[in-house]
Amino acid sequence: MIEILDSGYHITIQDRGRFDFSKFGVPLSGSMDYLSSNNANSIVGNTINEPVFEIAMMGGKFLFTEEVDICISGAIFEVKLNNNSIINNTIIRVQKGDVLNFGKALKGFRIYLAISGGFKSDLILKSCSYFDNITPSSVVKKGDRFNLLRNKSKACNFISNPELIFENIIEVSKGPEFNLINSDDIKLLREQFFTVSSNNRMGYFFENGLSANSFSIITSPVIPGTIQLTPSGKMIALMKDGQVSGGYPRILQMNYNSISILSQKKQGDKIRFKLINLT
Amino acid sequence: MGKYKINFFHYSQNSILVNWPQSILPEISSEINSFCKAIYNDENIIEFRKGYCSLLIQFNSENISYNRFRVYLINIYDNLREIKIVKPSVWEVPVCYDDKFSSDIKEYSKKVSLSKDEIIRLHSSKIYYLHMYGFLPGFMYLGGLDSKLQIPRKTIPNRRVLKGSVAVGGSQTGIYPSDSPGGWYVIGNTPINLFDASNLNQPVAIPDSNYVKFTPVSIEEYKLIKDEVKKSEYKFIKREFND
Repeated sequence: MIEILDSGYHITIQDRGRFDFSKFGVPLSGSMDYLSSNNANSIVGNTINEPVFEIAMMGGKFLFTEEVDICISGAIFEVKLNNNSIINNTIIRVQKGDVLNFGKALKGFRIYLAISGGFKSDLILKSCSYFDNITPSSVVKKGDRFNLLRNKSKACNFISNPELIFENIIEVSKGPEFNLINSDDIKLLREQFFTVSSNNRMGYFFENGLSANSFSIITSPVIPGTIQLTPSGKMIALMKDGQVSGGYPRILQMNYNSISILSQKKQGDKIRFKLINLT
Repeated sequence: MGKYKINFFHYSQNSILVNWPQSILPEISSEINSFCKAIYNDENIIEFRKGYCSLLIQFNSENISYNRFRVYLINIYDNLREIKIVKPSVWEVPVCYDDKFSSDIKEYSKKVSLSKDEIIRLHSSKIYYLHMYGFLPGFMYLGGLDSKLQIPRKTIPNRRVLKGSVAVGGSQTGIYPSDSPGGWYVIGNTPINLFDASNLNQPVAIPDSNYVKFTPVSIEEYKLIKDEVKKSEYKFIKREFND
């Protein structure tokens, strides 16, 4: 069993998300940085849909009441198993009574904890991903307990370069309303750095933006990775918990890897967009 | 064969946006539904998301290229038949417009230059087409708001709008299925639940492509219905829709 001794700043359980429920207004959810959760699951021999703990910014203390293999991947945190520092992207065997303690994020923003063989978490609308009003709680709480499942490991190899997520170039393709923006703003998009002003699992917001506008569109579908332009000229990058439809112009669309890269950014971090063509 | 001129947009690595003429009409929503039903069981489709007049389809790009998938969709559209699985119903949603629940009605009343009674009469006499769900789990996009009730949404949204709030904004009206921030004017509250995550097959109370009508109830009736909802004894009142 795993017991939560300290719930940190923001810890949730995530898998690949809730497919096929957007028709009821339900967001996709799932790991913000799927590259890192895939790494953590793959390294301990899980399938990539196995739920993991997503730990954001700082904190979190996990007590293990039995021996099991684990892996952490994603942001670089100060992490200690009892009193010893541990590193990302390697199998670590924890023993009965061990305490895994997450400190601050040193580089990046979100780290994933995968448990070999998985742990029990309720499946609601075909996913374990936490989301307010879908799952009983929107975050993992102190005192929560999770039984280990000990599923037979399956060969799974979705390992990517763990440095990729620390890039600051976000690859985007043109969104359906890209043509609304003028040439000066396109120049800004191509050349300027944009600074993250705030973020949560629904979206990333930026301090600087494009020119103010009065564009609006009939409420239309969006997906994680869609970048909307608000009337003030500021952009919102929709992330995994983002709503399924919206009325702001969809000017850009991030690709999968870029969603992972942006997920590792925090307030004050700077990114640049690189326009690519879809093939 | 489909009735409209549709176009396609390569939206992401594995998704395609299909655009119908950009207007809010039950006929367009209904054709989008027929199109969804025609492709529903296709093994290359991962998920689709509906808008008023567009459809965003995620496909398995490992199995099929964007161009081949687009050609496949054109074929489906060219051979589309109108599929009416069920006749739509009009679902009655009880709404209490009492001052206790209508926190924005004074401000709204000034903006639309109508009395509270007139607002309630106009809001509850129409039937609204449920185009789709979006925004929040269980949030209905309802079309058909009387033009006298249409004003731009608030410039500064409320931080917390209560669950069940019935609100108007722009050309739309809707119900907040859970507590959430929101930019529409709250004019009432419904005691019924619109979303139940434990119901895997039908987590929403009212299926889309149906009609919704708001029925004014007193605060006493509101409490009685709320009790029935709590005990899972509440039964929707619905009738067949006649054109």
